[in-house]
Amino acid sequence: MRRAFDIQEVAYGYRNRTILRDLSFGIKRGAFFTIIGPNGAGKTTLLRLLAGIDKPASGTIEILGKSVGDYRRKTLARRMALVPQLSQVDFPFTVREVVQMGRTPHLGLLGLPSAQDRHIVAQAMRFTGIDHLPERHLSQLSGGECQRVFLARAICQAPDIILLDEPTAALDLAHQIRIMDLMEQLRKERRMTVVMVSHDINLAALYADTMLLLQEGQTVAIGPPAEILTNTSIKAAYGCDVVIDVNPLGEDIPRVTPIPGKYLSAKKPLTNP
Amino acid sequence: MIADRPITHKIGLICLLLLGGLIIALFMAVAWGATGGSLRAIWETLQNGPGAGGAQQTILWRIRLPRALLAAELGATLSLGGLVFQALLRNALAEPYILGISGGAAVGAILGIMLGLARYPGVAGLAFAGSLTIMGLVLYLASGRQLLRKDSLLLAGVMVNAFCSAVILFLISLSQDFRLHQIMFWLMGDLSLADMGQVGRLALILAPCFFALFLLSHAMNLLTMGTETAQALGLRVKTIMVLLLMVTSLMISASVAHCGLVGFVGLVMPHVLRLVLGPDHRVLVPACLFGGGAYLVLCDLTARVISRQGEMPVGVVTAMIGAPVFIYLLRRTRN
Amino acid sequence: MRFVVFARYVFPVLLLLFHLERSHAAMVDQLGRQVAIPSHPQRVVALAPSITEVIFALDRGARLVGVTRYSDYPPAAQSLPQVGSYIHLDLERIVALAPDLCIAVKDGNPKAVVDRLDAFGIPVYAVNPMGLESVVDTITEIAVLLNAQPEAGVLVADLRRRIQAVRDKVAARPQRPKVFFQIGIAPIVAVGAHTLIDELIVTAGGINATAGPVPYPRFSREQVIALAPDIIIITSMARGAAFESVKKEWEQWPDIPAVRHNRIYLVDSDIFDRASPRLVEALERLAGLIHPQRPGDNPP
Repeated sequence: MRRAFDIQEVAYGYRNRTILRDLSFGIKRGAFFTIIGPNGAGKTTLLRLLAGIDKPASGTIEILGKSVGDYRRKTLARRMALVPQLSQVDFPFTVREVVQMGRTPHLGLLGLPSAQDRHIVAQAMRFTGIDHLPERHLSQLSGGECQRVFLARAICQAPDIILLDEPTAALDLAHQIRIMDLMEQLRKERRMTVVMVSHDINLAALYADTMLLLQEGQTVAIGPPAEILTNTSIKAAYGCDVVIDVNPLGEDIPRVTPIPGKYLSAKKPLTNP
Repeated sequence: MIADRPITHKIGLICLLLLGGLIIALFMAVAWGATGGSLRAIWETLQNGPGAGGAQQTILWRIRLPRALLAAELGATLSLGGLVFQALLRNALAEPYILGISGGAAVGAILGIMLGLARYPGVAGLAFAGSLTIMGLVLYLASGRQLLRKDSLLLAGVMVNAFCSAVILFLISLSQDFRLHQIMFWLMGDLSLADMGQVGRLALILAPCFFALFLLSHAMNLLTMGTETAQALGLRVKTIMVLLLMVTSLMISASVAHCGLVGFVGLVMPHVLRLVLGPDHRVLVPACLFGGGAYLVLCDLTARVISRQGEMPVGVVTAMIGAPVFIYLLRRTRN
Repeated sequence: MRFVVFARYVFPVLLLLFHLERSHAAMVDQLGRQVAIPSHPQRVVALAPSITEVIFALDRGARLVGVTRYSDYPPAAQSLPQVGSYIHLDLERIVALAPDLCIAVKDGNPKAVVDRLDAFGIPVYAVNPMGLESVVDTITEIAVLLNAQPEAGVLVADLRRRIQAVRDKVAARPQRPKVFFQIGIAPIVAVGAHTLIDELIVTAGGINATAGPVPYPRFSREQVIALAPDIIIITSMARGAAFESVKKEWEQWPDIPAVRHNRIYLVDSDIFDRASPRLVEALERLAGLIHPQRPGDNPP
């Protein structure tokens, strides 16, 4: 079976700044793959390369067995959807209009939807639990609702792969779990490959079957959460000490807790004595 | 597959309504003017067709009608230009002049006026060349990766526009007294010398541009979601953006060369129409075409009849109506 | 067959030409344009205040049906319908007056408007008076258009006599004071060589301190001080009160000879910048300021 992604010796940067170097890994179809790492490690950049938005400086990226450069944009959009980081939309589109945009790769130049397309849109809205807000404007929604609108739009693309950039950032606990559960359901029921950038190691560890730990554009570790979330790898990537134990929810789910006090320093008081 | 009833119906209905509005506006603009004549006399003159002689005939068919049509073309162009730039810059307060198109056209046109060239093709050609040069410069400054960033085009445009303003002031300081008046009128927008040849030539340039913009209207919808999202939804973003810029600068500079600078239309019309009709560009493109046209026809009519001793530039009217409306809208949307 | 062609096509054209020949005269205006002028124009629109003045001076005011804004002289002109300013003519108002002749000036009237009037079949005769002598000639030309040759004869003879009187008077005065002729206040604008006002200054026995290639050059205050003019003349573009404040400004600089000798004057801009018979009045006034009457002079 072809893999969802095949990344070979990929590097990326501009001017003198290298952002990613010598990355090689694969993502199996149907995987729940999360990319973690400290700020500035190159997580979002890597996701942009996977989405085909930017081109690598060297190396190759294959999606479903075909080089990303060989896809027509529209064909690619039928295979793969992207849920970008939450950002403000200044135009008063309604929820239904935004979700309907997800059908674009399957439609003509003017994007006029058929009855079937509208059915798919309604289904995606029901699935993500936003079917009670079709005429609301994006600006009137909460962060969690907004994120589900973008998720519904991605689902309408009917993709094999769905990429998400920190989908749970700035959401409350319930909304975090709701988004993650939706992704897991898509993976199970529709065999979608989920690739997600995440800040929240513990939340990612609850769902991911494979994790990639990045630091300064390089792979620190890749594998199942239980294997890669170790004191050494976390220290190497984040530079801080943590306690790692087993999550009460499951044997193979590690739990990472940072130890407070590292930056509590008597040498650099806020006020002069 | 069956096309979506609601959206196509909405487009058709709005087109029909606004086209009706445009026709009424055109009729009013032909019937009313600085010089009198009862409605009945005007109706008879119109029925006699353009062939018959007489001052009234000349005024209606050869002065007012081409002027009203030119105003409609200009209004449609400026409104559409505003619409496109608002989508491109993802800023509902952008207007077509913001990327220096006006600045470039103004520098070219003022050079033409100072050299004593005829309005057509001399001044028009130079204005066009000027705006395309500036457009190229802006694209170059904001090229590559930068193009996809939200504000890089805006910043490059603002810088280049500021430079153009300096050049305009420099040129004005060099110009002779009697040309200065001409330049001032041009800078405020002037439709008074419209003739049918001009209207036709402009239509030849504008019609394909309007059509292209309608075809790109759904692409504009996607662009408002951000370039990454648009790309992920299958849009060739760079190609589409460059295409939109080229089409818009072509039609704006062609209109500017013929009519001078008329401000606020590109800001106000798309904004008002968006408030009423929603943000879908497949509806807004035809709406701006007919609604913007009708709006400027009425503004120009106002400019013609409001002043007793001779006319006022249409740019003054659009600014006097546009600025307060705009401030009102801005406050309303903020609240 | 040939006869039919002749009868049907050629003959009417000949007839038409003959008809035109009788009622219109093809004339060449001062820009070299061929204009078909009716032999007795009855509905004339003057496209500049100077033209209005000339027509009234020729006693043909009754034939004027339209003038431009600021056509305030003679007072009778103020009651005529206005067709916009001479810079920004209102096409519709001109056409509505159904004129059989428009008289335009090259400096100011936009060529585009003239072209449109042409296209509507309204004859436009353009004049381009460049100097004192050509202003007088232009009066004669307009007189020909309006069948006013006798009136023109008297008027032109009087103007020439008065110009000669000024020439004679200043010939007797050997010194040539330096004149700074200020037509703009902020910014300071003066007049260059090859302008009507430059010619007036020279004819009135002065030297134009700002004679140069630019027709209406701008000056900074220090440049004016460096020029050290003997006389400063300010036109009344901005009227009375402004003059006093401008005069005060200059009076801060006693280095300027004109300030030292209190020779700062206000003149009426209308008579100085309109190519009309009143230009000779302007010349006489200027000569009076540059070479004032001294006790013992013969009265002019």
